[in-house]
Amino acid sequence: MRNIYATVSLGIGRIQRFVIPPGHEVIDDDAEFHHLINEFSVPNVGIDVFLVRLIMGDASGKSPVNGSCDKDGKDDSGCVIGIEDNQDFGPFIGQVLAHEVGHYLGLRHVIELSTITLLNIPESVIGILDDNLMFPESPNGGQLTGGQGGEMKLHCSMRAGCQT
Amino acid sequence: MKAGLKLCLSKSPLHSRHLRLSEEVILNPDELSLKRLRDVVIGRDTTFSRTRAMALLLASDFPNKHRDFEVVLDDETESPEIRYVAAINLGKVNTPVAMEILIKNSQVRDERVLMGVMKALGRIGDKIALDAIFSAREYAKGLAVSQAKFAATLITHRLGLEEGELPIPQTSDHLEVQPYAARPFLITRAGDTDAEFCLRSLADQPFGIEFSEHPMYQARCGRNAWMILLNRNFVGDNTVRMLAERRAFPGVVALRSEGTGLYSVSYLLLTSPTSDRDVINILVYRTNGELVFSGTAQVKESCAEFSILALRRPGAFAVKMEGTLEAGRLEIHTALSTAFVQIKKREPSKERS
Repeated sequence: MRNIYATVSLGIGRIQRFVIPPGHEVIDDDAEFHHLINEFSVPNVGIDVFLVRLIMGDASGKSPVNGSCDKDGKDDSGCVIGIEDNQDFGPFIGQVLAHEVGHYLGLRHVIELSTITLLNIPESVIGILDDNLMFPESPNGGQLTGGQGGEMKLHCSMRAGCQT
Repeated sequence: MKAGLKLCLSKSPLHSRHLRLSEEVILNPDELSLKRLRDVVIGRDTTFSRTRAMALLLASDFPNKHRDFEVVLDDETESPEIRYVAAINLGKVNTPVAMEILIKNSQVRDERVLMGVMKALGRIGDKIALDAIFSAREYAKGLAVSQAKFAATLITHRLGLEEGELPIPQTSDHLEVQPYAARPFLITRAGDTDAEFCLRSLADQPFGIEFSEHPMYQARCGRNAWMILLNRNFVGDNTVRMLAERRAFPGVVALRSEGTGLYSVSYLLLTSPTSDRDVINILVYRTNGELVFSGTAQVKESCAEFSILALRRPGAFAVKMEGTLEAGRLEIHTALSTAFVQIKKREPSKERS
């Protein structure tokens, strides 16, 4: 994830690890994801990323687009990654993490799978789009554009880098 | 069936990367992609996400798919989480055979697997399932106990049975809404397109009740949108009298995903009569069985005047809803919510290094 974000001059701050009580190993659906992020939170300025064992359905992670920086407010603050299924794809878990946090920082998918099917998008175009981190499937090319980097830098959770 | 297959057989480079199609597939694509999918589901093929394969299998109309989920659920060498997922999927298959498999597994010892079995049975179970749940409750441990209790509560309300005890929240458990700290939120009649889309979203989330297409109500608060759906059995002229006479499961609240626009059931509305024949208890649960809102309704002939408040729990907002229900029509007079959580969210403990 650090490597992916570094390509658009974004660093990752301090990562702290916490443990939530049993009972949240599997996320059944969006409603359960919503309940999880509304029940637990770390009171700091970091983004809450919940690592669960499995997420049911066809998503490897879930995140709001342009997530909230107010963890006590109405809007969703937190994202979730299913690690067990992604483990089988080893190196790609970092990509899933970068993808979901990318959503949180304001990025949308470069195209939706339904659009690909609906408009019968040619393979040549898909081949270009799936190089991008925000292609809706992983593994993908894991790349970010300068524009996407700029958009992420506008998010409220961004902090100035350390002075050297 | 075709939706699931098309995904597996898509010519997109991405899908072929995940499910690389062998030359055999070209000979008989449907049959072999099914074989591949089933291999992934039972863990023989690990080149694709199992939960995703299960979702594809569930969405398909492949025959006997309950047997694939049964294999996973029965296998004690599998992780409890994947067996849990198999149990929930069996609930979604929602056939008599799927229920039989779940009942057979209601004796399973693992707490997490039993949680999944209880959750699934609660959603689709009948009287026979209820007996299995009561029996499982005797030896269940930890989280499976609360799940078994909730499964029984759900079935008794759905079937209008009087068995089992119900929680009666105290007034002090409620979060009072201070008018200066609360803002109104909008509840309106849903349009036909939204209503139809919501029903289609919920088609694979059975809760043992049939939803009425009209009326449906949309609630919006912040960036979140919910749909209030009523049980088709409780939208007639005698709805209020029925609610005053028996336990009932009159509806659900479904949350709309901001990302996909799809709905998932978020809250379950359960009611029960009280010793005062003109008062109905209202309990609103999360789908995992956590009680989050409660209130009462005062019956006046064919009309019920209700008031619902949020209960104290971590991450709770103070919410107040008041209105009337008459002949299956909701009229909301008050819908208030605080803008910030009133009870601090739970803080996870720091991981020990």
